Amino acid sequence: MNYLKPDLLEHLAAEYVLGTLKGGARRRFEQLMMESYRIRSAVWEWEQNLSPIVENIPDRPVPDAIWKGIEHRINPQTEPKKSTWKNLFLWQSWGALSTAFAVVLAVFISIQTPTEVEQSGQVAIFNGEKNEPLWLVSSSKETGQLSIKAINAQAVAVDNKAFELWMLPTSGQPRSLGLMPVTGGKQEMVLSPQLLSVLQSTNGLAISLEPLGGSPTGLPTGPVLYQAPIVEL
Amino acid sequence: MAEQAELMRLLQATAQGNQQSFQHLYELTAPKLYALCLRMLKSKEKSEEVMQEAFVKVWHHASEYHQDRGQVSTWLTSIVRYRALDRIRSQKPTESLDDDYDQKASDELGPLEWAIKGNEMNDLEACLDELNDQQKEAIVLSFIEGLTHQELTERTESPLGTIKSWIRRGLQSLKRCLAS
Repeated sequence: MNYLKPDLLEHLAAEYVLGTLKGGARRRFEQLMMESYRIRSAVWEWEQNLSPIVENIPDRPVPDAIWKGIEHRINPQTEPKKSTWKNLFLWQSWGALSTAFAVVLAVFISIQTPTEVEQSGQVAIFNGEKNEPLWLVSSSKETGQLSIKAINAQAVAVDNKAFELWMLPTSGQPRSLGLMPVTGGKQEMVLSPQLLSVLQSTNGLAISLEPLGGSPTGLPTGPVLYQAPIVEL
Repeated sequence: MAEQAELMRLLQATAQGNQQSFQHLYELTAPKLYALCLRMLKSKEKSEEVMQEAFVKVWHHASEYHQDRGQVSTWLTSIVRYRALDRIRSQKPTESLDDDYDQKASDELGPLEWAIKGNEMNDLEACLDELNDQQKEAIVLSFIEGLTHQELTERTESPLGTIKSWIRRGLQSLKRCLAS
């Protein structure tokens, strides 16, 4: 199918904006938008054509909770103090203080789980463009447990795409550690002894943008968007 | 929504990391966009979530706006609408709507009334008026409620092929009219 045929392009762009293009057809069209400025332009033109419809919708009072939620998500330290864990977000500069954060986290873990005082592990923090924390990844050498906590990841979510986590070994190709959560609580998994061994000799972690379900090849296929050094606890 | 020049100034400041300007941008545009979410999602809770997700995206991607995207209000509307459409398409058919939503919605204007309501007849409204009622209703309902072709067949009690034809021909007519 020649998507650049003017009539077809026009029709698909209009139905995309309208929302009646859905499912696989919508996802394919979004991929084409990424590749072609002409297709993006057709979509933008239809957005401009149709958006005045919204002007006739009567305004509605907006609940205060919406702004409070936005404010917290772009500025995590605004959340009310609830727990020691959340107090850690008071740090103003995550990039500069990530090492200090790891030390504090280690202390925190030792306080919270006294039976695991002797445990050691690793931690990595992925920051966004404005140095805001997006994900916290931590692992335990003893149990092989890998924990991933999404902090502000939803803000950088890309429609119909997934974030995949990779180890960057000192030699050899990247190794996948699975898909990153964008919302919700902590995601936990237990690494095989082999993967845990690779993790011990890894310089850093990276996150690439992949199709839903993850890389089809076992290696990164999309752009590497985020990297983070690993800090030993 | 507010004047475009003011929205542009606020968006530019937002792109520089000015949170006060971002809040002002939100306050000026949220009442309309929240109303759109309610119309599409028919749930206060989901509308609040979609508004939060959309505006967090605006905060992080403000610098990606450019004039080819149209007016600032168009760009904001698109971000909110696409997020709401994603939410609609991903929700289970069994998910219930807010108990108190239908009553409020029934007080609002229907799609045909909206299309002809504006005191200031803009180009789109004039062109929508050139469509027949079925074409106009199918397009406006899709846009403001996020209805699929299948849902439109149920709403209008018309066959799928007819719905697709109304939309296709209606969009073609709109395009010709807006270009003239």
